[in-house]
Amino acid sequence: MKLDRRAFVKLIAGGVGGTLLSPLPWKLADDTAIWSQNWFWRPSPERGGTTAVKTVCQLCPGGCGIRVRLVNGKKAVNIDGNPSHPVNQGGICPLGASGLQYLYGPSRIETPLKQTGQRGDVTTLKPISWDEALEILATKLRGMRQKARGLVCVSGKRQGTVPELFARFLHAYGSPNYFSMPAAADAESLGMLFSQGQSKLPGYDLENAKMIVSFGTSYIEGWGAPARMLLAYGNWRSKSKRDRVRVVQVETRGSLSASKADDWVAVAPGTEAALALGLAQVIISEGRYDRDFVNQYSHGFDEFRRLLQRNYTPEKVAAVTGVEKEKISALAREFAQAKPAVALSGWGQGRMQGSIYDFLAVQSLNALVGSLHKPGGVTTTPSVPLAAWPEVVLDAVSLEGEKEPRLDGASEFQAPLPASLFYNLVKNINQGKPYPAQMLWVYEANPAHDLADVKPFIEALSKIETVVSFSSFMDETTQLADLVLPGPTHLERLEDVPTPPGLQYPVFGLSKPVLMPRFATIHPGDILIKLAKSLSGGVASSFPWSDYETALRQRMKGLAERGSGRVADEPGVEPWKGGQGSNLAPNYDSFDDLWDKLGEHGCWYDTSAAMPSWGSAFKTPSGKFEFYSQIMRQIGIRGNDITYLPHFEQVEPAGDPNEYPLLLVPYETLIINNGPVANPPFMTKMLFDFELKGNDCFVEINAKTAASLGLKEGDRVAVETERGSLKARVHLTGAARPDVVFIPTGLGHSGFDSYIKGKGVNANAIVVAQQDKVTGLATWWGTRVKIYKV
Amino acid sequence: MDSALIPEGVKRCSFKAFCLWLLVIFGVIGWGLLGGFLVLWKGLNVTGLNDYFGFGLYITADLAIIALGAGAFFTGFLTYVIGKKELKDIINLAVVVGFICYTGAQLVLLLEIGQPIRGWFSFWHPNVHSMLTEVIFCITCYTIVLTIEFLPLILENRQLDKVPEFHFFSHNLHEIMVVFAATGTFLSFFHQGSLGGLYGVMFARPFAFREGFFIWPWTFFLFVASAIASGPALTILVTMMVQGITRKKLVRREAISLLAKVTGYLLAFYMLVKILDTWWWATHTAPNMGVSFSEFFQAPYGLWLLFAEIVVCGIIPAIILLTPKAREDEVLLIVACVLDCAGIVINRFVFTVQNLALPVMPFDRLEIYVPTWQEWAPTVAVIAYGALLISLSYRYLPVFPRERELNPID
Amino acid sequence: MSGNKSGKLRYGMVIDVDKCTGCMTCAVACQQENNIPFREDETKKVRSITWMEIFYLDNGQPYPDHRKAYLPRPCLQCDADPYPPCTFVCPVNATQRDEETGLVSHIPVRCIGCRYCISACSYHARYFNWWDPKWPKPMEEMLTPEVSTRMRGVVEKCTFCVHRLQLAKEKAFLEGRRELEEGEYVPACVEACPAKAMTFGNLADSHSEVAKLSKSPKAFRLLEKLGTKPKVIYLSSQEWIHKLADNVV
Repeated sequence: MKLDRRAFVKLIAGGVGGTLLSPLPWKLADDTAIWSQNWFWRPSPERGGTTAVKTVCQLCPGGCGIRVRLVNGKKAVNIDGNPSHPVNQGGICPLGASGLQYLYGPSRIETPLKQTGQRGDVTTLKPISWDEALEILATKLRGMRQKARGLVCVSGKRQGTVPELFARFLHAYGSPNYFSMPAAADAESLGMLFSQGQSKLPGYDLENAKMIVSFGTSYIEGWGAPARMLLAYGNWRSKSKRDRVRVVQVETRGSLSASKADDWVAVAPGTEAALALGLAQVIISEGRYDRDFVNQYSHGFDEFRRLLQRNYTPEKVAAVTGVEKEKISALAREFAQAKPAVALSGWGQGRMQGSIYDFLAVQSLNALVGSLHKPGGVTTTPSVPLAAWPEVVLDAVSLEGEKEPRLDGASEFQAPLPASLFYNLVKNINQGKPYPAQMLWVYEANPAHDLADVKPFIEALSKIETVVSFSSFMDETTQLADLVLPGPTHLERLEDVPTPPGLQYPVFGLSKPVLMPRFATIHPGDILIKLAKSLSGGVASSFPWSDYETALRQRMKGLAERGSGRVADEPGVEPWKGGQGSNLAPNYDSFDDLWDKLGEHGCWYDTSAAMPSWGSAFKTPSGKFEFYSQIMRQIGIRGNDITYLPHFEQVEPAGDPNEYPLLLVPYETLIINNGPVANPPFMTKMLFDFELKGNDCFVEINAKTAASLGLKEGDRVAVETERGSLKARVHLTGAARPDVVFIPTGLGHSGFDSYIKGKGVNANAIVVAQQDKVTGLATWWGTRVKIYKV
Repeated sequence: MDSALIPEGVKRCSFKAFCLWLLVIFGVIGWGLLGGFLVLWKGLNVTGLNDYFGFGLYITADLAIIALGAGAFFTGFLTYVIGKKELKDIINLAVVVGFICYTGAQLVLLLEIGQPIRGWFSFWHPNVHSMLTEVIFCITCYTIVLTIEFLPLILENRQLDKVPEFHFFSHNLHEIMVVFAATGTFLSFFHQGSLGGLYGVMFARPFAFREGFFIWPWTFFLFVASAIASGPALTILVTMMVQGITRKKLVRREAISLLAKVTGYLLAFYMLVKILDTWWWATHTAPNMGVSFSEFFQAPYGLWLLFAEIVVCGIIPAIILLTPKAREDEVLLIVACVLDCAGIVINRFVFTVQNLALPVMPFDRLEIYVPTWQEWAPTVAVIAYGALLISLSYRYLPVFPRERELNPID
Repeated sequence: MSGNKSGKLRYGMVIDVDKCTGCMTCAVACQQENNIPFREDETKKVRSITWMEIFYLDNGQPYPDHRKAYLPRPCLQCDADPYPPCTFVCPVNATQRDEETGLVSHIPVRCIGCRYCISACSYHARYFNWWDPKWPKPMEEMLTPEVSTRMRGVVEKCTFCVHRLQLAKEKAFLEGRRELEEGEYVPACVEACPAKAMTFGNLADSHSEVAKLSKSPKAFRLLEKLGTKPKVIYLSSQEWIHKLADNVV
């Protein structure tokens, strides 16, 4: 073998060159490149034509218009806001945007379930057929008909035809025990009754206000209709310097609502109403009130003024609230000058009932500056002109039932109070007074987790023979049920969505199934109709409809007959502009046309109802706005003169101050859902790591509090009240008032799926509900607490 | 048992002892393989890396190893291109160490990228502006060069050399070795420079970024200098280590002294350049980006790192190596070389980890990076891999041409 | 790949931090639109993929002077000349700026996962897939068809919903138009924002809303001094927020 250096080099070069010139390596490399881009086990979404269907969100009472995008008409892949819906104008909140995670949620209940073992054991909740499930329930209902009052229903939804059907069923069956989950609306409707003579809810014309003072509301964190509030906030901040809207937040915690306001007035916990009265005092004593309104349209002004001068001078209010008296006076002047100005009431998202006096104090402030029933002020939410159903057919049993006392004892007063006294209900069930509760229905609510001071409620469940849940999800209450009748989710069902809370114009939303229900669920409305038919007597006759849709159509006829109002079918509608009373010609010509158009666009609204004049607005005995409530007196509420006037009652928090030196105050945020459904993964992902870390949630404390307790950022602590103890970590922040411990609500689920289960703790388990002596409403706002390192 | 494979005229330990030694090495390599396997199987989530620390121990190790591997090209350059014949004593070992460093680095790099089967995309879809492309190209090419340089040594094994084709092939390679040495020098010079660019071009990272003159040519030569100032130190260290373990003199002292002296000059030069760079960066570059020098050093990544890198592991070893008396002292020489190598590791660590740990946005938080065992194991295994290759080479290949002469067998 | 040849299209975003209520709808809409995976525990933020990340800011003052704000941060689509920090360093051309639109793309299937771009980006806008993305079985149904799911071991980031640009272009093409109207192409986050705090459009068109807003005295960019030239511009009248946006010595 003879190979010299030249030949050697040539051989190598030739070999390499030859191979490279051939297409082989290039083609092979390219194929390999494409092959190595595969990762075949990642999911690849189904492709196909997409369509968008408009409907209305029902995840909270906000009732936003949404669009659901479908692939091949059957797979929902996206939810966004409906631009032509007047409430949200194309915007959407994080919960609404996460809606599909409920539709496709892993904790959906697919069939009816029956508890075959120990209550609370999820593994023995066994699937049964619908026939069997309805038969079990019908048999039980037939069996207890003579003690019909033992049937109790709790609805999380306060308004709409389905809650009405539940209430109707109980009425026809013979039970007075239909309740809503507690909410600020309970106190508001009472307050409106006492001061204005009708138990309607307030509607705020925020879009036209020049100054907004919020007394503790989470106005951009879920209060009212959340997306509407966010939109309004954006609009306030878009105005030119001249039209600048001033927002003042009165709150103990430095929430987002506080930070995003122009001014944050940090008050001592629970003293918002005292500040409101302090403002009123300044406005009156400086003569800055609306003389026309006060002199002609109000009753009891002098009594009110005297009370204010006696108890609510800036000095006195400063001592209670911890706000400098100069600041109180300045704020009062500003509020009186900025016309129109409006004051908002209700703590947090409005999930606490609160004291009627707090509500009355804030409304008096609105009254003083002439903001009642005026643009940019507060009016009542106009009712939607729905047609009535036929009267409930009462038989012998239900006639008896009408006379039965309610389990919450609300009928102690002369006229039954419109609100639910939920905490009395829980107490009475636990004591079996005045009679035992036999069966509980829970609809669109998860009281076993969401009810503040939840322990007595869970105890009460053990006193009830049968618990029936209508939930679509394995929530904590459903885990404790004996029978589960799963309903379709909000994207799979037909339902009306009433005017959202706090809105100043009437809106009627129609939610419809955007795709085939994923499981064999039955609409609660249809369940009730089926059940009624399987019972004899008045119950069956009270439910004459073949199905829920027929019942709904019957009520909606009223809309078509109204002669005004429109289906929102084009973007950019701003019903608050141009003032109320602008008559809108309907854009439909018959009921069927309205039904079709509503089905397509999802929303009907009306601006024709003008705000009532001061002369006609008040249905009180005096026909005026009553600072001094005569109705309270009439219905049998006893007390001294102060009882009938807006005043501030300092609630003494539960617990021994020596043992529990700090105050625990729960707070709500928009990124943790507090409704009946647990937080979706999309939202939980967005929590900061000082809100949730692993499975630990954080309580917020001030650095000073931390220093006095020897705590550092992130330390694990026990949070202990007289109700019990929870484990959390501490987050040190300037948002927290010294000596107050702030705990987020909405976490600590033991039900639902692995994306939320076990994350954080449930604040509701350790707070103690305080009740108002006069009304029995829960005015809870804080509980004495101690925290220590573990 | 394996005596037929052992070069003629040299003495090696017993096969049994050698096997025991190998067992220890394989133990470490096995641990590394396990770690590496877990990274490939479960993904990089088993590491301590995250979106703040895109780079961590793997990259630090890679960069340090590659810098230390510069001993091969630089010794080759001195030997073949400059013609320092005395370094022929040490050149084979330098090549082996270089080969270990470069192949080891590539193995670690394979773990470091999230999609190892796409590792070759930088050849297929190259972005010519990316420093990393340049580095990958150069490293690959230089690994090939090192393989070619290593090959004749392997073929000189007693049994392989008996095959005429192998003998001929290795002879021919030897003849043209100067070409490869020059190529290697060129490639290595460039990619060592590009490695600095790797960080210098990150203009949104004030800690690493250098601008204008301070990126080209400054950073380029800074990194070349850092590599050639520390690579030969590792070569010296390995030589001393092999001599220590085998209790034999394998290399003439002149060779080591020469290399140490050159290293000393280079380190001194590097330190000068580095201090200038640091000064300009602290007083001009950083303030222009809105960052003060003190913000760059936050516990645990404090100023001690800078002190350790420049004073303890830079100026001190440079003084030792430049003092003829000191560098003739075995202990001081070893101390100097260890410090020199440690300095380069700190430098690469600082540019990788500290760079990423520091908050860039004023509301950022300083993050701390803690590598997991799955990162340590393959990194340590690379050292074991080096020990394995050196052991095998020493036992079966004529790595030290002067061994027979310096250790005559009776 | 060639340098910055700013043409007549330069898509950008203006985010009004004062209008932002911190509701995080943008981030949820983004996750939904772009099939962003989620895990049971997402609290280790340095490994959590959020193309639209919300940064928490506060003024550092004690109670009751404490104020906070949330800063939504999509990919800032840097317009630095000649290259953004990330595309400059990618060894495999997996991320590039389209010089016609100014959009910085990322092709996950080409990405080798070297994370050089992650290291180069000072805004933490780039995320690595530390795990194989997995959805609970029923939730696989809700994956959108326009955006492919990514795989373990690659980087991903906000694309300004570039697939929406494609769809808008296709629609315009079918209607015989060559150019898009303002508002025809809008990313999911901007569309979802209930407070209308985000505006999107062509910065190169001086008549566009974004161009006008970007010249507002309230406007600022994140880390302006680094010269990355982000095409996401923030607005705020709060001095402390401006201060937190850039380092000042």
